Amino acid sequence: MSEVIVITSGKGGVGKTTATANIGAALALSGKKVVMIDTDIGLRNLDVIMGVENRIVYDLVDVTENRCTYNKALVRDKRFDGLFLLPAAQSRDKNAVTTTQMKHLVRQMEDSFDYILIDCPAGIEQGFENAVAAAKKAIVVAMPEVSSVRDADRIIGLLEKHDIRDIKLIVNKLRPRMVEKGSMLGIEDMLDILAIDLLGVVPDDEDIIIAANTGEYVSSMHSSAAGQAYRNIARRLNGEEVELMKMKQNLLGKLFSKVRGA
Amino acid sequence: MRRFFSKISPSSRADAKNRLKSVIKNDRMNVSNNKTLEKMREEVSAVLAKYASKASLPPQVSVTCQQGQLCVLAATVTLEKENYIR
Repeated sequence: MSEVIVITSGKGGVGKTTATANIGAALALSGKKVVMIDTDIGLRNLDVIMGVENRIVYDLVDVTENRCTYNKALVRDKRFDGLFLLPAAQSRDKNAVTTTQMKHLVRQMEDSFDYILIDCPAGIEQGFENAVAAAKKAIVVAMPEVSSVRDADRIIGLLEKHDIRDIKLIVNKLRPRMVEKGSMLGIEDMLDILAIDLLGVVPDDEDIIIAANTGEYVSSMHSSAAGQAYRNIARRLNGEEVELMKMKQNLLGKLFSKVRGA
Repeated sequence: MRRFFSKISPSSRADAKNRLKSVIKNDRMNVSNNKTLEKMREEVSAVLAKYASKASLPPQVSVTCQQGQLCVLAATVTLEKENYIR
């Protein structure tokens, strides 16, 4: 039976798709069989981040409208043994799929994968409803910035309304130097406001842009701090206790000694 | 020039946190108020429908609220010969 996890944020541009791709890749590297579903119909990007944009034949709407089976629509990332993408449709909108269809699709997939990661679009309309419909757990991605945190809080409320209680936070694009100077919210601040468990912290890292440029995964880059962060997140999802990384100013090392696995 | 640049405080972390706490508190209150108001509107509609069996039109109920306070509940029941507005 799969772990079905929605990756969401409310606000756009905070790193949901990058997180989905890199966590998926890190889980696959650890030997898990992973499918990532892009539910951002009309504005798909998971394919581009993964570097498989030229290999899409069928998409999520083709599956829900019974033009093909989900197996036929899956794009396998050949760099891994068990990493698959179900891409979103690019020429439709988010009303093309219903929550019932999403639940049915995930039920069909559940026995075949260890993890089903659902990349949620920004917003709280039909796209969000579709993405959370079949999810049992949630990862909320937020940047240490006022509008991102505000939207994350709203999303947490909506997730709870959908009976998703296992909700964890990824703090993304953290700049330790700015936190120390008092110019950026810290992890403690965000946990104080959002009051959910922390899954991981990803530092602001130009390797993320470089990796996206070439369709590579930052979690495959051994010298990348963000890559290490995503690998640690995957290990926690697998149940390991992994300490938070020591970042430049060693600020996080002082705040937390361990983060429990999921 | 000095006045312009000095407006942006480098220690803005505490400001951000306080503002967030305040705005989130308001957001949560408004969401909760809207749900409460909608529930009230439905309950009032159900009661009016029960007693306005001779109404020619379904009862109209509206509830408007200013931030933090319940304000006006208006109900209109249109009977065959008379209108009652309370």
